Amino acid sequence: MRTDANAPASTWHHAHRAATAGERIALDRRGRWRVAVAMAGFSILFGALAARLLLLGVSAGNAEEEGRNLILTASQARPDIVDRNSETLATDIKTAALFAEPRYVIDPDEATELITSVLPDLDRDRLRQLLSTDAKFAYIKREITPRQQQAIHKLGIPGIGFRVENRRFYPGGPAASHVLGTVNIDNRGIAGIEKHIDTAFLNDLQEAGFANNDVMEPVRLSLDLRVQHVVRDELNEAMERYHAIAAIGIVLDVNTGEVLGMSSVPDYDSNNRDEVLDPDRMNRAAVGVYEMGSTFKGFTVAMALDSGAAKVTDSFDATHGLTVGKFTINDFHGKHRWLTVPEIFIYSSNVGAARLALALGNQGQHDYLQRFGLLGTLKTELPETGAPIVPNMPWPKVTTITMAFGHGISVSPLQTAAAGAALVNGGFYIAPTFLPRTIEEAAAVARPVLRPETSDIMRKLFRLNVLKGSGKRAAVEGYGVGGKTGTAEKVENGRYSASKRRNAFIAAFPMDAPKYLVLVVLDEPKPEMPGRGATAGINTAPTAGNIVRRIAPMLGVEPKAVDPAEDPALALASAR
Amino acid sequence: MIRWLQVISVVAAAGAAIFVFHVKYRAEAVAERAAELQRALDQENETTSLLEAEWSLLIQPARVQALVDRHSELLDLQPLDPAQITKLENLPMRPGGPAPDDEAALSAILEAEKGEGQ
Repeated sequence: MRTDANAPASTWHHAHRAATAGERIALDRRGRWRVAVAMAGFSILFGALAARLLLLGVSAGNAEEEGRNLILTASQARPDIVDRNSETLATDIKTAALFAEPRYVIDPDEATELITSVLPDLDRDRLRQLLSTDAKFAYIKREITPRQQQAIHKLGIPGIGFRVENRRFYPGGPAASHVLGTVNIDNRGIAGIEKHIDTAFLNDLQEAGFANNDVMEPVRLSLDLRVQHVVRDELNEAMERYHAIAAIGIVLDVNTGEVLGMSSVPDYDSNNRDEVLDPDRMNRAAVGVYEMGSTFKGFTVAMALDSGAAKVTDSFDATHGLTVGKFTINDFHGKHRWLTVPEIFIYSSNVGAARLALALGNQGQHDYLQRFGLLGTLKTELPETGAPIVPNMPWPKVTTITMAFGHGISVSPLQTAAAGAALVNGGFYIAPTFLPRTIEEAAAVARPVLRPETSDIMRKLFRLNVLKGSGKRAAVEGYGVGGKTGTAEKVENGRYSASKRRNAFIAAFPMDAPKYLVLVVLDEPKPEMPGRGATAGINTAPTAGNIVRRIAPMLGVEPKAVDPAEDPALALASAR
Repeated sequence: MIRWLQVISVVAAAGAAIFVFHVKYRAEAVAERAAELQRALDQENETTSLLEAEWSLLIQPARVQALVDRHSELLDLQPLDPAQITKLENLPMRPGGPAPDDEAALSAILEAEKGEGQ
């Protein structure tokens, strides 16, 4: 090593041989200082380079993220919506949007001609005007088909481009439209669960920049697509058979409050936004409020028994009509004798129900209706909800009487279904939901309304009404269906019309341990054939029965050869 | 010594330069490959979601029901009856097979039927 460095070192020494020791030290110092300065300079330079490199490395990812979000915000990504069995109810598919950068369009006239040759429905003059401006960006047409995109791409017009956008697609079309709602062209929810998703979390997610299909979990609903289809199918069938103008159907899990199916026909196709605003296609099940008629007798009987105002063995005078002031209440199928409570229920006696309500008084009636959730507006995940029309307290005697059989109070069918579930599930009011809910979660929100013993009697009465009363046509072999009919006269020009009715049937099964509730409402049903009747027992009861027959196997309800609820129900009828 | 240091640093600098260029080109190639894979992945995801949408369209109960209705006569289909549903443990035990004599008689009848059919 020494010999290696010899040559340059000797020259250096030779040149400075004459220098004194002092000078040499000074020179050495100066040289070292210079080297130090040079080193420091280079260190700073390289340090700066390294720092810049680091900065680039760190910020590179961010730059990419920003670019990605910019594309996605054009038409926001939405989470898929699936039913309780993970079947797709709504999903995003990618479509192309045709846009122009007018300042880069060289020949607006030629571009207009070419584009309209592929998209003939575009307004030529407006397009020409648009392309002649100096604007940076303008949509020409959104949601074009892949074939149109291909054709325009082949034309190779400068200043014209495509942008990938999310388009909402509902495979079921109208199957669950009233629950799902729909979105606008910017993929924002404007109705139903879609709107709920936006207000509940998607808008916040969007603002934070996390709304991306790769990250978002699908939203699971409590609906069962198969049940939903059956309900809608049977309603359409019933509407046709009984020449009704509208039909509503709800299937509710009585122990959790989950809505398994809800349909209101005529409905709309969620893929077709124009139909959504048609008032005839409104969601009658959640928004419409109606006088539910005799189905309310179930509530009247329950509240009278629960409060102790009447015992199940008590009899009430139904020999004549009941006159209050200038009104006289009569029975539709008059028996003209004293009736026991079960008889009032199965013969659907207006007079009997009125006497039960009078025994309870208007305050008691008010309190029970309140607890059944029938006096307030029902809040679910759906933004659409109808406020009930109820009289003000203290209401007069005549109102107490009419409300006993479901007139003078208008509530939504969904509200009625939730209250009906409380009659048979052991006496708990559980607010209905469109999202999955476990038994434990339901127990946390459940509110006791009736004593369990009252609910037990109500189960038997419901079953009895299908075995012996007006609900016979709802019977389904093996599933122990119980239910109550309701035939309400519609109000026309301020008075009750004798020819136009709104029929309802509220059913639950299996009655020994009710699991599901089915509510069917038909608006203005007419006789199936001339000469036949058009009461609820003839049209809504068999419709509800058909629904039960089809959904019970799907929901895993085991059919029983011998109905355990039958004998107790019959025993109740003969109790005196 | 300094000369050797110079030689070493020149060699090192050249080596570093070659290495840096190598890394640079490799990084570029990897980035390109990553972008390519990402594109392919995006496309696959898109295809998957499209196929999923199509699948859910095909298994819509309304569509299946229409198909069933159309072919119910040919396939002799009828709605499920609650009496047809039962639990396995509720089924009676399978009776023993026919006695050997009966079996012979049975197959003779079946053979005769077959012959007639032809």
